[in-house]
Amino acid sequence: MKSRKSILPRRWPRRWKNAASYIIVGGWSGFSLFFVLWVVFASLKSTRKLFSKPWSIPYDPAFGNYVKTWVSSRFGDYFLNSLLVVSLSVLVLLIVSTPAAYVLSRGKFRSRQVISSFLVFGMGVPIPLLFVPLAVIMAKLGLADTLSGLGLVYVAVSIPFTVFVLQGFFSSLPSELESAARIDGCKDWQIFWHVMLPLAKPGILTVAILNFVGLWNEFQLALVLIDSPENRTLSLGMYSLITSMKYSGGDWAGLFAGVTIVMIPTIALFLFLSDRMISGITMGGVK
Amino acid sequence: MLFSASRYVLSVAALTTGLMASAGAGSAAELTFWSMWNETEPQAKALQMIMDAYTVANPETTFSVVWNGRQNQTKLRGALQAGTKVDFMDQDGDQLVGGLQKEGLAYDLSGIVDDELKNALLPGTLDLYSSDGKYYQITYIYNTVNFWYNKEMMDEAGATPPKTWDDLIAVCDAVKGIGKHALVVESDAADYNMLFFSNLVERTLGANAVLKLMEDKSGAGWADPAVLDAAQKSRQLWDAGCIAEDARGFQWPAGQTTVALGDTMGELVGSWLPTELLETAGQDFPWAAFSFPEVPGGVGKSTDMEVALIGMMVLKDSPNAEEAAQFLKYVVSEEAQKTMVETGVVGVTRKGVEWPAIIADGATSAAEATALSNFAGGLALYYPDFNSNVAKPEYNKMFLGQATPEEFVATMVAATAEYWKAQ
Repeated sequence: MKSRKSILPRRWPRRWKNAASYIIVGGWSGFSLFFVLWVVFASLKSTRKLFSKPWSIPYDPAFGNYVKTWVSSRFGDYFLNSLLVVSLSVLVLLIVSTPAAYVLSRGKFRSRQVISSFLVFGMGVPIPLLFVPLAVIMAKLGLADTLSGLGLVYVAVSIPFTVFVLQGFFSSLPSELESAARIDGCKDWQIFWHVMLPLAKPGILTVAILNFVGLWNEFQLALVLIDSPENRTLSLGMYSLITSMKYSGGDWAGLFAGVTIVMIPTIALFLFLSDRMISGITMGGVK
Repeated sequence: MLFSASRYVLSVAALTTGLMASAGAGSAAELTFWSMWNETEPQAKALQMIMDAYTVANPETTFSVVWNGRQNQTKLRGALQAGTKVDFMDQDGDQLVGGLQKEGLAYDLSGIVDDELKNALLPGTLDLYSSDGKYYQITYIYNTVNFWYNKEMMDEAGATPPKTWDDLIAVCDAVKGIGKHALVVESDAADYNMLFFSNLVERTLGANAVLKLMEDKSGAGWADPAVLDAAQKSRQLWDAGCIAEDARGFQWPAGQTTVALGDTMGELVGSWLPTELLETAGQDFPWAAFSFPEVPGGVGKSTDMEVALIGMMVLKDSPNAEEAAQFLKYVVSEEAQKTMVETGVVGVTRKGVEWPAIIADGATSAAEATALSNFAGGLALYYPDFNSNVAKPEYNKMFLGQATPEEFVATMVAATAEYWKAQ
C-alpha cells in the first residue's frame, strides 16, 4: 500500500484546481485586455506623447486622430468596403455551403466521399499558390480590381473549411428527426429547410462568425486582387498606412486609431454572440 | 495643415504657365500610371499636381492613376502577368534595377536622355541605375545617406561634424559628456545597420567597393583586410559608447524616435528621416546632417555618397511608351521638381532646385557628391537573395554582438564561394 501511495499522483483539492484555472485564464484575459486598452489609449494621444509617455492615460484624448484616420486616410470608405464584401461573402458562403454540407453528411451517393476528400484537400492549398492563377482568371472575367471579384474569391476559398465544419455538425444531429419528417410526408428540401436547418442554426452561426472574423482580417488576397484605393478593404488601408510611415512620416497615433477601428466589429461580434458561438462549437463537437 | 484648394489651383496654374512655353503637340493618350505612393501622401499630391498641369498644357494627354503604395512593383508584376496594360510606374530605383529592369520589362529611355537632360540633373543620378549604357529609369526623388542629427545637441556637447573616423569617436565622447548617446540603431533594421559596414568599406576601397568584393567568385574578396577593419570599426561604435547598449533591443521606429525625443543625437540613415519624424520631433527640430567620415589610408572621400533614388520607369509593353517617356522628362523639369519639393517635401534630382529646409544639408551633400554608390553597398540590387539570406543577417548578427568580426569575414568568404558555385 505504501508503495502504491507514492506512485499515484496526489489528488489536488478542487479549490486548488479552480484557483489554477482562474490564474491561467484570468492572466491570459488580463494580458489581452491590457493590450487592447493600450492600443485604444495610444489612439487617443499625439504621436509625440505616444512615444515619450507610452504608459500614460490620455486625460486629454485626441479624438482628432480618429477623424483624421476616418476621413483623410479614407478608413470610412475602407470600412464600408470591408463590411460590404465580408458580409455578402459570408452570406453567399452560407447559402452555398450549408446545403452542400447537409447533402455530404446525409446523402448516399457514390462520389460523396470523393467530394468530401476534395474539399478537405482544398483546406490544405496554400493561398500564395493561387495568386497568379486568380489574378489571371479575375482579369479574364473582367472582375480584376473589383470588390465583387474579391468577394467571389473569398467565398471560393472559404467553402472547404465551412463545408467541413458544417458537415460534422449535420452529422451530429439525430437522424430520427429526419426519418420522422419523412414519414410525415416531407420531401428532401422540406426536411432540410424545416427540420435540419433550424437545428443547425448554432453551427451555422459559428461558422458565420469564424468566417466573418477571418475574412475581415484577410490581407493577402486583397493585396493581390485589389489595386484602386477606392476598392481597398480595411486590412489594405492599414497596410498602406503602415507602409507610408517610410518616407512620408509616422502618424503612429493615427495608425492605432485605425487598429481600433479594425478591432471594433470583431470584438462586438464576440461580445454579443460568443455564447451562441460556444454552444455551437460544443454542440458540433459532441456526436 | 489641410491641403488648400486655392494653393493647389495656384500651383497648377504656375506649373502650366511654365509648361505651355515648352510643350509640343503630342498624340492623344490616356497614360496609366501605377505609383508607389498612397494618394493621401504629400508626394502623391505633388505628382497629381504635376499630371494636372501637364494635361492642361497637353489636353490630349490625360492620366489614370493607381496609387498602389510601396508594394507597387510586386502588384504590378501580378497585373502584367494578368495582361493589364500600364504605361509607367515609380519605385525605389534599386528595387527596379533588381526587379522589372532585370526582368527585361522596362522601356529603353535612352532616346530622351540627351546631354541637356544629363547636365540638368545632379551628377550620377541617371547613370546610377543605367544598364549596358542604356537608361531605363528617370530618377526624380533624391535621398542621401548621411548622419542625420540634432544640431543643438552637437553644439551643447561642444563638438563639430567629424571629418575622420577618429573624429566621430571623439564626437561620441563629447556627447557622452552631456549624458546622451551620439548614435542610435534599430536592431531589426539590418538594411540601416549595413550602412556602417558598406560606408566603411567604400571609404577604404572606394565607391561601389562592396559589389566588387562580391564579384570575386572564390569569396576571397571578403578576405581583404578592409572588410575585417570595417567590421571591427562597426563594433567599435558599441565599445566606445557611441550607441546606447539598450539599442540592441530596439525595433523600428524605437531607435529613431529617441532622436526625435532628444535622447540621442542622430542616426545614420537616408534623408527621409526628418520627414518621417516630423510628427514626433516637431517642425522646429534643429535637423542637420554630416557625411560619413573618412578612414585613415582609405581612397574613398567624405564626399562619396550612398544614395537611395526613386525612379520612374516606362513599361516595355506600354501602349503609349513615347508619350509616357515625354512625361517622365517633364517630371524632372524645373517647374515639376519645384512642385515635388514644395508639396511633396522631398529632395529632388534636378540641379539648382532648393530642397526643403529640414533636409537642406542633404542638398549640399548631393551637390558636392564626387561618386555615388547604392544604398548599403548595392548588394540588394544585384544579389538580392545573397543579401537577404547571408550578408544582411550575418552582418547584423556580428554588429549586434552575436558573432565576432573574424567569424563574419569567414562566413562571407565561404558563403560567397558557395553562392557562385551554385550559379
